[in-house]
Amino acid sequence: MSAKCHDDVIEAILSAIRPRRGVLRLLGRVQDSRLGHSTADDVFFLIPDLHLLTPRRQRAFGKREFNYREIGLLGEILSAMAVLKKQWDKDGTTKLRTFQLGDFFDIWREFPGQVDPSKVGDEVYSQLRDVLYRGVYRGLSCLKASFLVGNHDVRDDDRLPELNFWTKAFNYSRRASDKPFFLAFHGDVFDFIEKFPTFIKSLMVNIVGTLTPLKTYPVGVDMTRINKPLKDLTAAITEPDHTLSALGAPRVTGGEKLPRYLCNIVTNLKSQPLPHKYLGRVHEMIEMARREDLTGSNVRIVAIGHTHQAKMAFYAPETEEPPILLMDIGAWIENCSYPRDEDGQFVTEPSAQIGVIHANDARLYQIYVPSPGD
Amino acid sequence: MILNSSRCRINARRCLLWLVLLTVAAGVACRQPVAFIGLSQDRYDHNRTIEVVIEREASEAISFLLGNQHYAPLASADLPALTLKGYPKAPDGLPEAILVPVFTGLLIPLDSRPDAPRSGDREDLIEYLAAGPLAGDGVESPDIIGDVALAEREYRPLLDFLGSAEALKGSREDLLKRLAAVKIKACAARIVDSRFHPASFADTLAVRFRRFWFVFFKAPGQAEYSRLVVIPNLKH
Repeated sequence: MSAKCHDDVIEAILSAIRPRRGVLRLLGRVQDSRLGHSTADDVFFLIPDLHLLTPRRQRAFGKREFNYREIGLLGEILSAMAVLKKQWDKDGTTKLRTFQLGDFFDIWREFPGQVDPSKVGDEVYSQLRDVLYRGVYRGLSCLKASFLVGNHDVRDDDRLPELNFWTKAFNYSRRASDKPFFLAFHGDVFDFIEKFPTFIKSLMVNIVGTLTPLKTYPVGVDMTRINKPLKDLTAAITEPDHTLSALGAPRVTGGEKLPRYLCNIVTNLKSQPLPHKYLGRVHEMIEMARREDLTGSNVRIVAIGHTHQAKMAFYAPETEEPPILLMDIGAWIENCSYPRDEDGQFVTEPSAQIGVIHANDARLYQIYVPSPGD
Repeated sequence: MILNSSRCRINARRCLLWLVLLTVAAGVACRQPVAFIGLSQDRYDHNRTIEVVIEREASEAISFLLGNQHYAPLASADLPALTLKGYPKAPDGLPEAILVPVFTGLLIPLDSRPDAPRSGDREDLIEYLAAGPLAGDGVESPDIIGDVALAEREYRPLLDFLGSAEALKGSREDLLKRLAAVKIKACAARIVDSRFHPASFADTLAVRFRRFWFVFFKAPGQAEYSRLVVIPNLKH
């Protein structure tokens, strides 16, 4: 059942990108029974930062825009996912839970002064808004996504009134005894810049933000970490079905065998630098939840956005302590760079990432669609 | 003499300036907050996990879980739509009106005994509070949860208050005294209720606690406050 659900998701994504000669690649994966996915019929579909702006405001920010905006690629992928959700709902076997991890509509860039939602017309990103949350009020196919609040979604409680936000969200357990294993939040809580006063942040976004060149983030497996002593590499290369060639991102066409671990793994949080800058903070947070017996005390998978750097970091201690998988889902803005599996070549593409979790199998994908002239 | 007169004028201006500033500050401080019972998605007024039942005929009843789609202008198969007698169908495809439930509020005191007929109310309320004030999940129970253990801990004084029949009895002043005794400061808020005419209830009282308003309703002829609506306490 596990592979079947993942295969269904892959097929849905491919059905949306094939007509455009699109390529789907696996940027990261951890398939490990220790992840504690106790609700086998849930599939978590994770959409990272989008930073949507109206075309009028987009002009001020140049190429720093929501990727594949003109062809509506994400909307098409989500529409295909909505068809899959409908089928799963009809079958009654699997539930698709869609999360948007924050920074959906960029209030800070859209409204440098007073927030005026009436300036965001109904037609702006119409398909995307319908399929994510609006369709439920309009009799259209809808994923009924849950939105996590990002630092760009809200300014002093001002937001697009049609959007509802959670600060953090856990999976809902059917049995009261099962504590949640999955936690999602935006991730800005760890960012020291977010502690600045509103007017300084507004200046940074609207002045510095327009002058900063387009960024390219290294994503997927951190290749600089592979020339380490073998004992520190742990399962990342010692698992029997994991080969060094899989350290790059393999192309996914459906049905092929994918590496079980495509991720930087640490067994000791004192090893520095950690594969993700927030892994230590996430660990501290869950430790605190354990001490105080809060809802997150048994969390094993944490999904965040905010950094725009798609990456998975797995803390798998050799002790009895439960592991933690940090999934940074990335973004649909700016660029990313990663090595391809087949030739080790680094490629730079517009960031377009998606996360999927089902049955102790967490995956991170990158989608690329060539321009019509390529 | 001229100098003294000039000083006097400066002092008078300073006094006037301070007076204006103090008046403005006092006005801002005294401005009565408003507890606005607005959008059905924002307010918590029923246990979202329990199916609603519509008795159409004695022999025919339908039951279903309410969803956000029911609070949309499109007619749903579950809820009847109204037409205007003698009028043709509207060209925009929308019904003239739809029948959606307007909940009178969650019944209080909350009964948390496991065998009680409404034992799930407290749990569902905690889940709503845990979602936070921006979640807008007042109509349907979402398939995710917030930090319920933390919410239960943070809101326990008020939840315990809501569970006590004794605490909810008597006049508004009685209630305020009991709230003060458990260190919950009630705020004199103007309540704007989009659902019912203000004369519908014998009394209403809004209590602000953390990031929510808890609005208590007393039905006419009753000795205690028996209904509760919770709404987010947002700046706007």
